[in-house]
Parts: sequence; structure tokens; C-alpha cells
Amino acid sequence: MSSEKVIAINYGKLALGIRKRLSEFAVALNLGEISTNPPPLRHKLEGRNLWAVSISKNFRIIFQTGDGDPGQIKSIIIADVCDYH
Amino acid sequence: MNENIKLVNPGILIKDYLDANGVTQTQLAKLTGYSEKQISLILNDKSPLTKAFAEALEEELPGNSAAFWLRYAEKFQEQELKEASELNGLDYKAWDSKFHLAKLFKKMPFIGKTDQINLVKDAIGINSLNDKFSHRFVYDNNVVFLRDESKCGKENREYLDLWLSVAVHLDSLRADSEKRMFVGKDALSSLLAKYKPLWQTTNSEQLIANISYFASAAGIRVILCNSAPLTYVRGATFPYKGEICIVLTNRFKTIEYVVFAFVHELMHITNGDVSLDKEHTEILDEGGIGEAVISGVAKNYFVSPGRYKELRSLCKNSTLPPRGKEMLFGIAREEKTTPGMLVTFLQHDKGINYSSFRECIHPFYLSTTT
Repeated sequence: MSSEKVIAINYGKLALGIRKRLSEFAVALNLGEISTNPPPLRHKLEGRNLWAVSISKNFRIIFQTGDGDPGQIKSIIIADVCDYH
Repeated sequence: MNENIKLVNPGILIKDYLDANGVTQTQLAKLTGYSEKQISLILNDKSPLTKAFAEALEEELPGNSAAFWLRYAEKFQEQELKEASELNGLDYKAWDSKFHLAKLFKKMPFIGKTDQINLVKDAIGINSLNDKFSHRFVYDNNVVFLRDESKCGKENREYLDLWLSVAVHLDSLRADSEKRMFVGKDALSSLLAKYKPLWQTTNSEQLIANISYFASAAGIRVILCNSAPLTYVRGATFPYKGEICIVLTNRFKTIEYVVFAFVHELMHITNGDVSLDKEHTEILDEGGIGEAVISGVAKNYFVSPGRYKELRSLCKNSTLPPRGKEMLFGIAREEKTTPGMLVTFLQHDKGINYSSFRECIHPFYLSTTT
């Protein structure tokens, strides 16, 4: 089964937002290509190598990376999709 | 970085960037020297994303390089070509004409054509177009499930059958899906009595949560989904693979009607019309909550027949006089229900018209993807 269907079934309203961010991840060569401006608003979180990108006003995708500069990070592990508030 | 995701259209993504940065299409046109028409064609994926346009985006939307946008458009193009060649091998047209795919998935644009075919295969258990299969849901001949006569007939019965199969199948794919063990008729009756206050909510999301809560207590699978496109069907109740299933759709316009319909369907179950050892499907249609007897039982659950009769007798000229209005609120309090429920019953029984007491009823929204 394809990824987009699984996302749609499990995340409902948030599905398109999640797919937008995952599409960017798929095309980006490294983390540096994911914008720190809106809409992804990539930002570092407290905690070792944890980052977030926005999918809606309240919701974020949290992901983990290896050590290094965003320009050198080439793979990420999605940790969670959660509500900040 | 991640190779398995299906990319969203570049136009959709660029629009997201423009919105988030407060850049309008008109502004973009001015800044880039493109005409608004050209911009609109690119954003709707009707024109290819050019190098010059990508460079303009780089300038207007800091944080993304022109190379990124060009690569994105290229990868998307590759994906489209791959999907098109896959589809050629699948013979989508033949599947569509046999299983009404385009109609069935009209409201689920996120499900691609390949997936549509796979879903139908899984839902009805076939491997190829010519495999034999039998329709799983057998409709009772006495149940009128469509108001429009022209839409009745064999074709629609098969179509609705497919629609129900797909709805159940999609629901079973949810991560939180679990097998429901029905508690039995008697236990269901006592749960209904115990949880009557659940139906006092006037908020869509809360109502959906309450229905889910009740369904899990009663061991019933409740599926909330889009209605079958191009039909008037609102919902259905049926036994399926050892579970009792109730399908409710976004065709209900008010909270009170959803509550009435849900309880109506539960009454069919307590009445034994739908049970695990009986092949029978109850269909709710657009014409309202039909079947007077069960509707009567459902109504008596919310308000005692005597009190309702008193209230009904006060209706004059399709409306309630002030004294009736007072009584309406009084009865709602006594019976632990909402004035909206009573208004819905009165409207249904043609005691008052649909334009009166609009303030008591609440719109129902179902945001769903399946």
C-alpha cells in the first residue's frame, strides 16, 4: 500500500500538511535545503539532535538526525507528529 | 532523503510557500514579470516550472534555492511518468467501468488510480478483473435506500455494495483499528440507558468522540466516512466478519439528526433486526429516518411518549406558541435530552416547520478522509 494512503487514513485533516513536508524531505539533498522560514519553519529543539518542522499552526513533525551541520545531514528519522499546545 | 513518499504537486507546495510568506499571485506576477495567467498555469501544474520561474521563487521565498524547486519539479515529473506507465499495464478503464472507481473515490483525491484498483481488489477479495466474486452485502428488498427512483436498480445496489466494502476495508486499515466484540442485545440496552447523557452534546467533535466511546463500550464498529458519491445514502448497519458495523456519513446536516440516526440504528440492533447470525443490511436513506416503528422506539428513548404527545398537541400552524416553547425547554431538562432533539422530532412529525427553532439545532461537520 502506498504511503500517501496510510498517512491519509491515520492523520485525516493533517494528511496533506504531512505529505507536503515529507515531499520536501524526499527531494532535498540535505537538511540545509529545508527552509528555516515558513512554511516548514525548520528549527532545532532542546535535546540531542532533535528538530521540528511545521505542518499546521499547532502541529509539528519531530525528527532526529545524526551529528553535524544541516548541510551535511542526509538522513533523518521521524520521531513523532504532535500538537505543541 | 526519503525515497518512498508520493510527492505532492509542485503547484500545491509553492502555493503553501506563497501563503505562508504572505506573497500573493499578483505580487509574484509583478516581481517576476510573468503574467498572472502564466503564474496561475504553473501553480495549477498546467505549465512546467521554468528555470526563470524557479530563480524568481528563490528570490521571493528565501530559504529555498532555484535548484531545489527545479529538482522538485523534475522528480514529480518522473513520478507522474512512472505512475502513467504502471496504469497502462493495469487497464484502469476496464476496472472503472466494472467497479465504478472514479465515482467511488470521487471524494478521496489522495487515493491514486493504482491504489483504487488495489483497494477494490482487497475489499472484495479478487486478484484480477475477471475473477468471480459475490456481493457481500445483501440488501433487504423491502428497504428503500434511495429516494430518487431513477437511481435505484441493480447498478446502484452493486455500487453501494462496493462502497460499503471499501468503507469497512479502509476502516480496518487504521492504525488504531481493533476487532470489536459485540456485547449483546441486552447489554446494549442497558448501556443505552446508562449513557443517555452522551447525546446531549452540541459540538460535532465531541459528538464523534462520544459515539466512538459508546461504540467501544458496546463492541460495535462505527465507521465515519464520506457518503457514497452520487447517491442519497446516509448510513447503514450490518454484520460483517463477526462484527456489527454502523456506517455514518457526512450527509447528516445536524448534530441532532446524527444522534437520532445513530440511536435509530442501535434500536435495530436491540430489536434483533441486525445481528451477528443474520445476513441483513439496514440502509439509512436521505428521505429521513424512515421505518416508523423503530423511529418511534428511538424517540421514546429520548422522551416519554406521554410528554411528547402533550408537546405535540400544542403545535399550531406549524409552530409552537410561547407556552409550548417553555414546555419544550422544561421537557428537555426533565428527560435529560436537548431542546434540539425535541425540535428535530417535532419537525420530523411535521408539527413545526424546518425554519422554526433553528437556534436549537446545531450543524454537523464531519472532517474525514475515508
